[in-house]
Amino acid sequence: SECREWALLELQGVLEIQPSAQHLPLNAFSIGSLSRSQQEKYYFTIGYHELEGKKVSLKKPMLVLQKVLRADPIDVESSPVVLSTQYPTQVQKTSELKAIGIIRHKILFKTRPKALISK
Amino acid sequence: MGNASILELNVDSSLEVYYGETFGSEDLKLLEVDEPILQEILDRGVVIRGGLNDEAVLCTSSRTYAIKFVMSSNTILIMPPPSSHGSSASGEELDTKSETGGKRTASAMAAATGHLELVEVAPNFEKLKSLLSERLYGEDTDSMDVEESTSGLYTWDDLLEKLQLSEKELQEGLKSLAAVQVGGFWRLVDKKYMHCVFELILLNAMQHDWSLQGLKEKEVVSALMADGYSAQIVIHCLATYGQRVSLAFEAGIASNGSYDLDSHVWELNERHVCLHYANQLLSSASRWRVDDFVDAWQQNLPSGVQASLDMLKGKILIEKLGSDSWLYPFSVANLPSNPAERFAALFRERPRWEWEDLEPYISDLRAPGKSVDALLLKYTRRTQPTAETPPIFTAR
Repeated sequence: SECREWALLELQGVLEIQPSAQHLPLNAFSIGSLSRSQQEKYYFTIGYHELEGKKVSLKKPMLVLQKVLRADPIDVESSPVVLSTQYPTQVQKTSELKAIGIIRHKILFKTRPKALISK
Repeated sequence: MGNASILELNVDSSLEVYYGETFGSEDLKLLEVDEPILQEILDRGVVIRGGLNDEAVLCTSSRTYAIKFVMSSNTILIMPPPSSHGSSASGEELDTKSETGGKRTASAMAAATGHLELVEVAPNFEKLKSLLSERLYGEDTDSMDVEESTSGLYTWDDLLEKLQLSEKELQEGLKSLAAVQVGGFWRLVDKKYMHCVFELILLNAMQHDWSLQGLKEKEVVSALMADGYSAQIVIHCLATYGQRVSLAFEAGIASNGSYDLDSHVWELNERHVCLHYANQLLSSASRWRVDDFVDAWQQNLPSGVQASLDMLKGKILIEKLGSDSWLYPFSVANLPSNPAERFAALFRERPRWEWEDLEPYISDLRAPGKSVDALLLKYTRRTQPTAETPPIFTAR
């Protein structure tokens, strides 16, 4: 079966939403700007920081797994009729996952960020 | 959904990275895999099993893996490829109707805090054995037509659900335990009962002068059914102690010359026949002078069957006391399956082992990535006094 190639964007540190923007829906604004200058150099500008990185091949491929949705269990309290049984009912303890993408490369930023502050 | 791929960003170009629409509500996991299982997971998906007390395992159709989560302190954004309709991956043909107003964008579907790694584990059949032992199929069961309660009975799906085994491993486990499927449930047959049925088959064979290499299923089943045994158990017995032979023409042709297609023919495994009688002798007396045992054994066997002490490897031990050799039961089936415990039990029984004696008691050990030699290295000390004498193994 077909599975398209996804990618990872990996950087050190944590992304934070500025207090002034916290009331907005997440996808209202961009995280940052990704650009490629030379063959091997990538830059990621987030806020006033600029990160330098490169494209890396993963030593082992990774799969992106998503849980297969099952119908939600019926809300016990809302059901007027309940079956009383001597047989123990079993809680589902397995999760089925489906691969929705393959990852073989990532763009990795691991150098110290450069602060872009205009003077 | 973005319209460009970060992997196909050309030199001297750029794109905006956005949070995807479902960011924060997606539960995606990253799983590191080897190429061999990659294709299988793509084709058939994967199941993670594990209750509250068991550690989670991932099962493909053939193997079971323990799952380890490797945490990362980095921020890892998971970037799906651009949607297939609309613009091309390089962003050259831009969707003028897109909200981004013609800019190249990529969106992050989720952030990962680490990834999952797989560690191959050896399958554990102990739990399978204990589940199936809850309700052994025995003498009482066969005489009943329909069993009333189904508690303590397990179907294939029940077993997969409860055990951390892949399908192939479960199949292997059921086969190694000589389990039989009756009425949709997998059952372990009571050992005594199996021996009983086997004894009856052998007696009938002797009485009717049937060849043990060509037992006709129909004849055997009808003879035993007359005594109250179910066809299923009889056939299970034939399958456990022998194998079906390809339809022999002589056996298939009935007396009037017509070809009997229903005639399944079974050949009993000589070793199993010998073991059956050996077990009978060992149950009657647990210690035997080797010569006495061999004589009694050969005498009890059906004509044409040849016994040899080699058949009892892994089931008995022989020790010299003075000028006599004595044998006593010591079965590998009763020993722990965990390598450390197995070697401990073996060295409790005997502090020193010659390779020839030791081999049958460790050949079934399984440890992922470890050969028998590696296990020997880990748990034993090997000494060889001279080049001519065989090596001796002692506890490490």
